[in-house]
Amino acid sequence: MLTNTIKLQSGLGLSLSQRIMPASASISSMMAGTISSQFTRGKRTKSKSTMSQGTQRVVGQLSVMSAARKQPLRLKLTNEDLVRHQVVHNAWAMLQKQKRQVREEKLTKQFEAMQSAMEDLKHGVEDGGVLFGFGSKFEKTKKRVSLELRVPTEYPPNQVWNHKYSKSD
Amino acid sequence: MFRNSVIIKNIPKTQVRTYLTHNPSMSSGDVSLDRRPKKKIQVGKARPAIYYKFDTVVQLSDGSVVVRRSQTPKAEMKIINDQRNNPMWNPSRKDLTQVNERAAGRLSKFKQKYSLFEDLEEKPNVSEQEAMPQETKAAAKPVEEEQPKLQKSEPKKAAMEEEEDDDFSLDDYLELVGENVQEVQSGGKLAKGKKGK
Amino acid sequence: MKVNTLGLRSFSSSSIVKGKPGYSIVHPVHHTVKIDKKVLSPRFPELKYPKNDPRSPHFKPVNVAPDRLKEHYLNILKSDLMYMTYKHDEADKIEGAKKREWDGTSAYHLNRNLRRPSGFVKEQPDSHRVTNKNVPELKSIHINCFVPLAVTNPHHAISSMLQVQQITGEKPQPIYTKSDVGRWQIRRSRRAGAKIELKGKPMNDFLLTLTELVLPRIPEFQGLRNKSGDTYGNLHFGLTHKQVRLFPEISSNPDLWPRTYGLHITFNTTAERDTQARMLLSGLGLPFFGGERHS
Repeated sequence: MLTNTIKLQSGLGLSLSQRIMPASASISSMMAGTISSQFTRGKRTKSKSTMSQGTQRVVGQLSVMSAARKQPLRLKLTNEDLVRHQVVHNAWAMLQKQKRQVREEKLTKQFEAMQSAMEDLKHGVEDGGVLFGFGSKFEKTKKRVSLELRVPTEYPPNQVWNHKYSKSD
Repeated sequence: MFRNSVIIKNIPKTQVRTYLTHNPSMSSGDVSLDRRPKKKIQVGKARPAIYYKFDTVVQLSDGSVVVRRSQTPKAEMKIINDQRNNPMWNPSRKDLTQVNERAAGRLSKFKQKYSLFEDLEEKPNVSEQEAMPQETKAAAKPVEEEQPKLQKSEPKKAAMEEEEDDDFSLDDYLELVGENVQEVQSGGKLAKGKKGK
Repeated sequence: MKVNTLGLRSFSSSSIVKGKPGYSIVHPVHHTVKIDKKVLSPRFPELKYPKNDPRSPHFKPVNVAPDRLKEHYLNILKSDLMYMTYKHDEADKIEGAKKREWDGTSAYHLNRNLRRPSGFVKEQPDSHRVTNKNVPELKSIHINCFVPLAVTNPHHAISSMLQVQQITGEKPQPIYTKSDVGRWQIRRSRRAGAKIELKGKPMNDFLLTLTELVLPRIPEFQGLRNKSGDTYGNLHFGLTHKQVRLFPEISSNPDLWPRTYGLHITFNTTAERDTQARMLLSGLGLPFFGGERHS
């Protein structure tokens, strides 16, 4: 109580060191245990709240999950920046469109070629439908892409190509 | 809207208190997280959840490198067991799976598992077998393969020790077994079956 | 429009008799151009920008890094899948069993619900032939982590949310219970778990982590069942709470995860049949086992 009154009276009159030190910095009060402490992993830290360890962990988890105040700052774009962004954005979109068109054209040609080839085998070739039969037989088999046809990585492996590859059973 | 606000009517106050704070994980003076006030987000200020992610460079078991984005603060990662090491994703590679045609039964499965210690069982038998032909093959030229074994079998007591020197795996195994180890402490409460206070 | 002695506008002749204002029978004018009134108001100028505009608060950068799974699919897999799914002499569209209209022979047919499909069969969608225009593609991945424990202990609801967030890198949505079962200790509309729908790059990143890091580490993992599927091209499998620990986000700091939760993973594809979906996913790095259920 006494220490509190001292704090109120002095205020700005106190020196810097005195201000930093808590009002009740006497050893007796520390020993009395007025300041609650919590033992966590070798550190004695002051805990202001009376939360159990489990709740503390969950509060931490909540703060991690909430992206609030951890998001990147909102972009403040000047007019020049805006124009730059629009030009880049449009150029990228145009490039992607061109690439997509090339891909789709290639795929269409592949499909049409496949279709015409099968038609030729069915009607054009005079072998009693043997070759066409192979195709239709393949259509009914259970098909899987080999797991060894992997998604490529950023950098290739130490053994880039296995020259001694043999198909497994 | 109503999920977070529990509407309770005509329930006595004591019951209400226990209902709201019933949480086995929390102590009596704990903060209840269910009934914390919702943060007010102003209209037009709501932003999508963008987490800070690190670009982790991950090296897989075959040396290929992949870049992963995640919240764990790791710059590099080296992985021992992954897709490139797994026999299922590499069916053509024979070095990953030990193909054993006879591994059908449980005994063969056991033998395959502890194939490292196979030599231990075989060697004492081999030395006995060699003791027999030694007499008959006195005049015959010793086969190159049997020479080191014959040399070992002569001093029988020291045989095991010499074998230790040649085969490193045996060395480690015997150390683990503790051939020359004497029990320092025997018995104790556990062995005697005594229970603590 | 008439103006009576009181100076009130009257729209119907009946209102003059009673002296009360009548209801309007002015026919509304239908606007041919759709007007978004939110844009007309002067409030919230920031919300008027499209969501991909950096000036909008909803802006989230998308093309941050190259997507190698997408590139692999476009460069290699797509054409291969087109060949694998090709069937000569297949009709462009096979009509699925649909609910039928009533004839109209009876007056009671008006506004009646549609009839059941013919043959006591469940309603089925149309099945189209695979051409260059509709090659099967992975559309989205749904992750569902239901934790009924959270009904009795609400901390599990939060932990499971964080687990899904760490695994995927995106913010999940909470799951609420739908039923009241005393035996299983669940009550209605309580938070119990997390769910998320992944699309685009986050989906591809998650799938790559699965196929390269997590699934190979599962002991005695055989793959996805050939029987799993909803017959319309969507496949499904699950991970136990122990297998979830293999994700690098959780395995790198196991002390922070005293408890992990199992989850369900559903692959939604544009394939119309399960067989096609399995071909697609095998190309994306997922193994399969067991007898196939043809659809």
